[in-house]
Amino acid sequence: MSNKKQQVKQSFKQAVKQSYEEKSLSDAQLEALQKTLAQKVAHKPSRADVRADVNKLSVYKWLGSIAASLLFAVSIMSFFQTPALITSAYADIYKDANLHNGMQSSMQQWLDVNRIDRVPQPYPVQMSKFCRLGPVLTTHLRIAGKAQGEMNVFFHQGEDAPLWLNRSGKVDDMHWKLLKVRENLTVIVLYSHDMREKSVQFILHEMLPELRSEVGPKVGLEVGPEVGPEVGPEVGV
Amino acid sequence: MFNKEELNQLYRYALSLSAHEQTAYDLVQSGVERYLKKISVMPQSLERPPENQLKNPLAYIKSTIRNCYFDLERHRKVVSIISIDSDDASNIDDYIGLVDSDPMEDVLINQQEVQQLLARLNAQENELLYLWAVEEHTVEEISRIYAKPRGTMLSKLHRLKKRIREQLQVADVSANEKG
Repeated sequence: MSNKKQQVKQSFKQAVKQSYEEKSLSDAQLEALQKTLAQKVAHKPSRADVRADVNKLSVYKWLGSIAASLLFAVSIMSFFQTPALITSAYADIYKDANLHNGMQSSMQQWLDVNRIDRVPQPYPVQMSKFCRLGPVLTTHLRIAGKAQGEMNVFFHQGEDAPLWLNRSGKVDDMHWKLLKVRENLTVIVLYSHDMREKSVQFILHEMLPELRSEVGPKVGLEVGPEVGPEVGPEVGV
Repeated sequence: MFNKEELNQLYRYALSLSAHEQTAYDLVQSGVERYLKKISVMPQSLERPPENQLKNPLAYIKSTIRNCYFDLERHRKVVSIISIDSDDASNIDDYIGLVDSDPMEDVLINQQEVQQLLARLNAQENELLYLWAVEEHTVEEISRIYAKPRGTMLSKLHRLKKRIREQLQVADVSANEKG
């Protein structure tokens, strides 16, 4: 601005206005701003695109909820069915029904290494062996009841199969329990209908220290003050 | 989206606050970017009623520029934060008429004096002067921009004009003494 122009007196408002009007963005600055605007506008989705995205999203949500419902139904159904592992164990029991080898020293050694206590004295071990339940390597003990019945215990050490939860049920003439005892030990128990429930609980509690300290809800066992060794067949008074 | 004149308008507004060309440009850049960010998320909620959408993009960007500038200055701790509410708006009637009947038409000033005057005003005063003199907003409009009562803005503007007159008188006296 020339010095002469600067000296021209104007009304106050006009002068302030002119002073600002003389200041503008440079061409480079304007270009940079227009560029920013153009880039962002190019990326801005149109309403039609947004609607299409919303429709696509609703379809995905719909499919997702159907898949979730199916998965839920399947898991509910499988929960009420006897697990394949139990049926394998059941088959293994019948396969080895005639085997009476007692407690093997190798088996006792395995139990000691894996911090599993001995079977309580009044309950004789009829059979002990290593076997496979499907792909799972397990240790199988058959323990006779004091007066009647028998129970089969399968110890599985290592990674659990998926969906191994504390559960119980009945298969044919036997009751079964699936117990997660510790991080790397799961126990499958099958016992005949004439074996006393109290005896089963007592044997398991004697053999597995975790069940002694964490009784009840975690392992799904009912433990009351009456738990203890079986004293003989119940006789009516 | 915005033409050259609109971008310059934003720049001048930013300049009224910062009194520094590069800072003003940075403020415009930030304001534009924030505006674009804001509108880029808006289509996601198609159900949103139109009244919630940005009706006046320039006003939105100006408000963003203002917030950015005062945030910046607060960090630098340069600006003395004076609450605009501290002005006594109870005597609103005293100011009504004073401001509107005082367009300062009688004050004649040259560009050199304008530059000196603007340099002596603080950011808030410069902004107010810009809105009143350059954008020619009424007091009602200015009070809406600031979201403050009309009386407060009347008082502010009245004091600003009074201060400008005083400063110009002082400048005149010193010029006469030199002359």
